[in-house]
Amino acid sequence: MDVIVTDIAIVGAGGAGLRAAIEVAEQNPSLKIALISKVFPMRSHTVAAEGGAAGVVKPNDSFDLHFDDTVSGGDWLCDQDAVDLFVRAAPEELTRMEHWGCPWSRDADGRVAVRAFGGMKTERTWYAADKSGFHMLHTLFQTSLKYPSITRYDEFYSTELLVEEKRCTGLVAIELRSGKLVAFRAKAVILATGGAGRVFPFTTNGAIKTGDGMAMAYRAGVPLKDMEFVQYHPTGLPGTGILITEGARGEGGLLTNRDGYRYLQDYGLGPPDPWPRNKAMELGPRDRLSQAFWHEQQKGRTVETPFGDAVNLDIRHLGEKKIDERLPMVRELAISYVGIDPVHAPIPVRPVVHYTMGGIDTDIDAATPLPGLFAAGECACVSINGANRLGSNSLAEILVFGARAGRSAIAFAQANPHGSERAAKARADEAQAKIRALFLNDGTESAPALRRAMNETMESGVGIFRTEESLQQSCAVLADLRTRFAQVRLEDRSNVFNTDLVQVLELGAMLDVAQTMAEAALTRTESRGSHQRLDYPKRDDEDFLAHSIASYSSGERPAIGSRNVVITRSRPGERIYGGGGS
Amino acid sequence: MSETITIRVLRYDPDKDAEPRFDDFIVPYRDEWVVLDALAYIKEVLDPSLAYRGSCHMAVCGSCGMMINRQPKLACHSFIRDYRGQLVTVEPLDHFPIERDLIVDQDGFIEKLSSLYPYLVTEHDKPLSEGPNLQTPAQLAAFRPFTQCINCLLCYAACPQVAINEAFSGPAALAIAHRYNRDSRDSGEELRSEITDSHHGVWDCTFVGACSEVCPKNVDPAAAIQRTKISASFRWLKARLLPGGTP
Amino acid sequence: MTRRPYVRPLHPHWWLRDRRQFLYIVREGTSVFVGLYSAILMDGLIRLAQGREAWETYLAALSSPLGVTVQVICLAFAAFHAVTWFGVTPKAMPPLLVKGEPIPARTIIRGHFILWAVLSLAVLLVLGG
Ligand SMILES: Cc1cc2nc3c(=O)[nH]c(=O)nc-3n(C[C@H](O)[C@H](O)[C@H](O)COP(=O)(O)OP(=O)(O)OC[C@H]3O[C@@H](n4cnc5c(N)ncnc54)[C@H](O)[C@@H]3O)c2cc1C
Ligand code: SF4
Ligand code: FES
Repeated sequence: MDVIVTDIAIVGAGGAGLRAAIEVAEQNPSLKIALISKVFPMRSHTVAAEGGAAGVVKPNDSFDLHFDDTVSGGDWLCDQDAVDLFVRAAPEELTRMEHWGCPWSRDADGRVAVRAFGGMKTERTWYAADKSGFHMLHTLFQTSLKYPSITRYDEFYSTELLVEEKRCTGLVAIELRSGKLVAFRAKAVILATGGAGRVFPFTTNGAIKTGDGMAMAYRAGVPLKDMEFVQYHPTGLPGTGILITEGARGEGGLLTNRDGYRYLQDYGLGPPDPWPRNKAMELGPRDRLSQAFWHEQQKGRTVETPFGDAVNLDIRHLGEKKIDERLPMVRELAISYVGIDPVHAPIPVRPVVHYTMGGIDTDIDAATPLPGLFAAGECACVSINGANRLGSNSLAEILVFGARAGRSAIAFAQANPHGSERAAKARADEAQAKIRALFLNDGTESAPALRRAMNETMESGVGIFRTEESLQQSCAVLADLRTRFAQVRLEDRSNVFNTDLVQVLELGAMLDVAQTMAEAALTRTESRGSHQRLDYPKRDDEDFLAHSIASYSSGERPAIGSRNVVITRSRPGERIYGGGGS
Repeated sequence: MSETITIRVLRYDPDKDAEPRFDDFIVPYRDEWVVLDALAYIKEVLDPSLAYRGSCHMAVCGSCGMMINRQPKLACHSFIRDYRGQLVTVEPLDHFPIERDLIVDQDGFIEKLSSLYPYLVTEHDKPLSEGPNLQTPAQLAAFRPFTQCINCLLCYAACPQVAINEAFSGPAALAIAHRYNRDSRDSGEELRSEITDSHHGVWDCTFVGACSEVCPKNVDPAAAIQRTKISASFRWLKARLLPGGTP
Repeated sequence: MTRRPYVRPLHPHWWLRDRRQFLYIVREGTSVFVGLYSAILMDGLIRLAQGREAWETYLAALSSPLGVTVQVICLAFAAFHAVTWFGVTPKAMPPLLVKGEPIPARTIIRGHFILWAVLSLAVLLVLGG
């Protein structure tokens, strides 16, 4: 086994991981950084984000307005100190991206253009055509090449954290091209491993979004926070789950049912103005839009497609020129994957799993309860997203908290020595033994079958609407799947690029993550944001104005505790959208 | 899932095979399936040891470049319906060392890219307090096409110069260098010219044009290279003809 | 046990396996003839400088059956070279914008052909007239 000694190890080279690495390299060039990722940085899923990143710039906008939109959008489950810090730092971070060359779209006078986004009161979403995440990721990756102190370990799959005397001292990873296990000894570790949408069958998330980092932290004793909150995006393509950006609605796209009726007006989101009104109708928040779809489906007013029910997203009235200029990717995707040219026909869309609001419990400095371990990006839960993330907040979040995680890790690495080499080796040997056991064990359970069963039970029991019964059932199925996972069979026994091994390990991570989602959802007997219980349809601030905290206990179901939400100045109120909101 | 298609996949496992071989798989498919879906089906149902790369399934992460019926393509953007009734042969990208099955070694590309200063080079650090730079839509349009590269490396697989000359910087890396050169905020062209103007920079290109033909994102690396050749020629002349120029 | 990247040897007939590569190699090949014709022209210049007699032998050689055959072959290959070259030029030129819209590739190719015809005609007129 190889041992690599570094000052700061970062797992994940998406937006959050790269931003953290650059921050460390800029602030303290003498610190050695190991940037570890299971795929090449530019393949990270930040690449898929289309719409844009939120940051206040317009004279008619203010930090307070961004704060209010975020907190009410999150149904008051956000920690308000974190939101305050976030909205203030976002414009700075986006400006920094501009200085690094990000090709933001521009107004005629040369200033950065901003667009409207769901749940935002005014235009504050910076965008780069409809490939915002792509451009941010490539800008960050290419900029990171400038710094000699960053050493990349591309295509290294991290399996677990090294913990010594209640402190994180590094991690273990498999070098995929050789199959070798490598121990990274570091004074501080940052997890930036992204979300876990793949626990669901129908998602906008790429194949790599399997919640590995969440599971690694969880197994090392760090709790996962607010895992029951999973965002459905209202407009995915049926069949593939490919996302049609919210930008399409920001530009004036309309949602209609089988009768051509703008059904959102029936769900408190009206009035149906012909042109986009912020925070109303099609620009309402994602949870409400996805829930409205479910109701329409119950009423039999959705459109049938070969891949299940859908509604229509109509952008025809924008005209070919504007569509090509503002939404070229939307047109490209619709033509390719559903055979429909949105210039001439509406696009069939349906809600699809998109974002995990919950994640590794961190404070506003991106520190987890485990000293030496930090987390940022979608894998973390600092609690700016609460019960429902507003679109375009997370691309800003990965920058703001990626950078903060970098700074916190510097402080920690400067104040603490390395852990002991012997302990690291011992732990890494254990990790090695576990993997070897997989190679030797003649398991009986097929990984794809377990994964399908997990996907099915998450969709049927932990979907847009949940009940005691559906959740009980899913919890039982997941507990059973975890037991069966101990007998999983590794089919591929080769060393080089053993992607079967990676999928088995990812499945293990997903099962842990899925279990925290289902169990936390079962415990939360109220409806809030993206968590909707048919049996408890009301929000209950008395008992549940609190984060859920899921802790690991080996072999058992997670223990679910709670912690109060940080409220500084916005008392929980009603979330008002549509005409009443402006 | 009534129709089936035969997919012939190049296999190579360094633990077992002295050299690559082919395996045939019969795959039932649906109309909206792409080759990447077929590979996932093979891995899940027929042969879990198949190794390939792929993630986003929407032609933006650049993972899934491979040779499909001898053409460099994105597997997530190649619809099986377009190959109906044919044998589909899937091989790893040409001109790269094969690590295993459909996975190739791409380190060479990253090294070439890194050597080209692929980031904004400015004379002074602009303080954040000054806010963003101004850039008109026309200035943006001047380099925007070259920002679209997803690093899928199809262009390297299409280029005969890459095949015969390992040191050639190659289409995508040069297109990205050009992207920064054309950016109104950048002043790093001199720096990059060290590599772009050298023998293994643009002058290894014999203007085949294949890179631009296969590029799934219309980046047009051939255009980037020809234009860099023009600027490089001017730089060369300037260095020789103008007083103070260093030849 | 560990990695052993396999480098596939370049297929001996790699340029025959793909239409695009084949056309490219043929285009490269035709440049030999374009070069040959330039050499003939150069030779003409040298002969001209050497005096009237040398020039007349040169002209005689050009109009001999062999001379004509060589020139016809060169013309054919040069035409092929030009046509395939025109085909790729739109890819390699900076986008020409007219009112903010790039000129379509077909127009650019057509433009090349028109320019070619006009120049050839001009040369014919000047020399022939
Ligand atoms: C289709 C789509 C569109 C979106 N659009 C928007 C938008 O318009 N606006 C917005 O604000 N947000 C948007 N989002 C959300 C946003 O893109 C993500 O939340 C954000 O990009 C996450 O970034 P990240 O850096 O946390 O993670 P990622 O970019 O997912 O990166 C995770 C990194 O961790 C690495 N990794 C994971 N596991 C391991 C392991 N075991 N070992 C080693 N490395 C590992 C991966 O290789 C990768 O480098 C969108 C999301 C999707 C899916
Ligand atoms: S230039 Fe085009 S073909 Fe080449 S790597 Fe970039 S996107 Fe792929
Ligand atoms: S899977 Fe991302 S480009 Fe094909």
